Amino acid sequence: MIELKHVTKIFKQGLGQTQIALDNVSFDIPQGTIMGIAGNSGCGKSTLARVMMGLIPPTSGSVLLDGKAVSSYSRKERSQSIQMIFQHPAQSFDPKMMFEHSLMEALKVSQRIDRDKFNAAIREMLSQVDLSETLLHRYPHEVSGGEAQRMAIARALLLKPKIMVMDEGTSMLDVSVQAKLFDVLTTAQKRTGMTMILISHDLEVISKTCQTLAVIYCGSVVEQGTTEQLLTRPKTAYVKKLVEEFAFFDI
Amino acid sequence: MKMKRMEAMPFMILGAIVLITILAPLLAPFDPEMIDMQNRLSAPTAAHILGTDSLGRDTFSRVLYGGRQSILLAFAATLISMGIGTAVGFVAGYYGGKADLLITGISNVFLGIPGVSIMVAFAGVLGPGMNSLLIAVTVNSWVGFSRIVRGEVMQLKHANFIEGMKSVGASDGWIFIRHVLPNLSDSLIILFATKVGSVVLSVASLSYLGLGLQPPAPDWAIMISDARPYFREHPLLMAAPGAAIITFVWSVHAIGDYMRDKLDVNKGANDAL
Amino acid sequence: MHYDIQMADVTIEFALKSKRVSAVDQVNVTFKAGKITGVIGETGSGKSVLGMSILQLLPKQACISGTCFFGHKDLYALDAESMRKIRGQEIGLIVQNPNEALNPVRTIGRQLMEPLIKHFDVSRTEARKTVEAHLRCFGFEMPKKVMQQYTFQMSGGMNQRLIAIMGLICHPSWLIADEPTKGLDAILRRSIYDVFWEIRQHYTQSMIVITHDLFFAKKLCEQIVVMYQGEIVEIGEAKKVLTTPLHPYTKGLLMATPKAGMTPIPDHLNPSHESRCKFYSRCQFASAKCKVQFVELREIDPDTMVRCILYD
Repeated sequence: MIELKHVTKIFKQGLGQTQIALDNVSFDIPQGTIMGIAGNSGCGKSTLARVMMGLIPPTSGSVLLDGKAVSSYSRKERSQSIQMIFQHPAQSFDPKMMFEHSLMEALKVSQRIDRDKFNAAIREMLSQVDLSETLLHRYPHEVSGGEAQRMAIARALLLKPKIMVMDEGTSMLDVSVQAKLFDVLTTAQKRTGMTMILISHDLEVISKTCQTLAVIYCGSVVEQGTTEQLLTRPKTAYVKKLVEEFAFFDI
Repeated sequence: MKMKRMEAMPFMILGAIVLITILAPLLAPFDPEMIDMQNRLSAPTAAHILGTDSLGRDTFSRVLYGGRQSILLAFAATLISMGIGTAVGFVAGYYGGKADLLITGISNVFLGIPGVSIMVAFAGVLGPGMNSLLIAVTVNSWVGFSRIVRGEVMQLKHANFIEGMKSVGASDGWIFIRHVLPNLSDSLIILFATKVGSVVLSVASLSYLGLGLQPPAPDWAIMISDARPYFREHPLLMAAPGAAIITFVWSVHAIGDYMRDKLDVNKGANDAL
Repeated sequence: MHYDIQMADVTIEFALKSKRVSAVDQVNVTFKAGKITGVIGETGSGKSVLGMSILQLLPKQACISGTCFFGHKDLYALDAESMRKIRGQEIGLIVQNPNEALNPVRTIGRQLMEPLIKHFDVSRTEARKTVEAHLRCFGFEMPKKVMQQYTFQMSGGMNQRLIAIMGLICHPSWLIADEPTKGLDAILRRSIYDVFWEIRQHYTQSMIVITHDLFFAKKLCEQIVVMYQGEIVEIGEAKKVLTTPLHPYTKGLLMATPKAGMTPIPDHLNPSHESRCKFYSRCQFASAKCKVQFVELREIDPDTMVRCILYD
């Protein structure tokens, strides 16, 4: 269970200027459900993800994981309850490390080292995300975008998080890669029963995967509800426009 | 990676200098500190191929020995500066805020004062000797490392993989050792190679001024300093150690340049594909 | 003078340090003047390499063989000077990534006027007038003000329009657009479509649009070329290819779209070395025939070509 209570994030931009990235965002997501967060680039989606992850502190308001403020968790505890897939997955791995070591590290920082057990866990996880073990001996720049993304999912799942944040952001992925990705993710979600937060600009992807949806515009939530209700009977002009943009390409 | 012959030159020269310096006791025909007043200021002869100095010491042997202390000192001082500079630069770049302000402030003070005066001040206050020389040079050159490291860390800090490591629960110390350092290694190698040369020069200038290594130690800078009254009549006395310093510094700099080209070019090629 | 762009036996390889990587493999295709042709395919399918090769914009490690005729000129054989004359004046380019493609330290006006002054030797006042007219045409209400601004003062959508103007300011007869919707959100994507529609209405109808965005291609293009691992697997009329695809790969792509339910194309169904068909290992329709027979790209009807044994 993750709850956001009046989260506001203001960035300072030198010369006394400020930018409001998130403006009084509140919602809660019951355990085990998939929620979508949609909006334009620059609307604060990625900031929201980072705040939820505890990577940056909110200016005011709080994020609660299972009723406890995310800021009060140690980095280690937090990593076992919430994980995130970044927008550029290949870049979320150390460029100088083979995947095997990167995945191993994720386990090492949270547990006592047990090489055999780790190896088994990593290989088991790879088969779940449908990746070949030979990729373990590659570096991040040596695999395709889709493979890196699934590798990132494997790393996140290794820590058995209760909540997974997926920052998809923009339409960088090929449809075939995207389909594979969501196949892997939704299977993992069903198996583990984790909560998933899917950040995307793509209403169609969200409508296929998420039960609930929040649409963000300029840092604040403009509309929120079940996906079906929002996409078929949008109340605000902005959501109407978003829905129309997609319908436009739908011949 | 294959080297062209010209590119391999500085490596070979540096290797030769280091080797000669290490093997000096075996190669030198004379004891570099052996005084022979009968043969003072002799021109090159079969026995003394580069002649002798004002105390009759063999110039050739002294040149062979002359790099021992200053090269060792330069490497040691550069390593220490790199250690301090990297640590300080990391703290400033990674944590930012007040720590950064403080460190940047101090660095600017060091940057503002000409290097030689800092070194002269420290060496003068601490008195001549290896240790004070080491301290003086380190105080002068850590800023060069910390500035670069701070800049690189500030960039790395926002790299996605650092956030990635934070989100899997790694501590700052872990991130520094396992992720920041390896990713800094290219720049540090380049920086080290370029710095060693200038540190050798700093050591030499301090020694020349009488604040560094002390006579009668055979050292290039001391030899140059000793040769001052005689060099018009006996140019070799100054030219020989001078040439040694120049060759050494040049080869180190050339290696630094080579590294920079090589490591940067590789980066570019990887990005392109 | 609206010529077709005719590519014959085009193979492009990259000579890397240790190996040669094939990006485009024996491509034969004609891009017809007066039509918008979409080149679609996954990342790494060679679609961008194919497009950039037309203007000789590949890195120097690229080895090109084959011909690319534009009228009676082979674009691959042109020297740098003649190529410069083709670029911008006859074939314009709308580059990827608008936020990085414009120079941040020069005013927008200067950047847009530059090609005019260079290519046509017009006076600055004339160039300024032309640029103003174009800006107005693309929805900038105060062109004079925009010309004095810098790119970082513009929004993503505005920069995308500026890049489009940059590509067509010299009124080329052809336009090549590289991934115009990559990394854009829904609203920007729509505005890019409007930009292309504008171009089609007022400037030129001969375009090559390289994209991974199937719906964008379907809405905008008349002809579609589908590429897979450097080969063309299907060519056909856009609506037809993207509603009733023939090649198993194109079918797979469409099934993978969110609308169709995001069914992924399977991997490793069959051992890939058994057939010369590059899609064999992922193909659900693969049969024993695929192992022995190999089909080149062949015509099904005058507008449609496909590379698959199913249509033998």
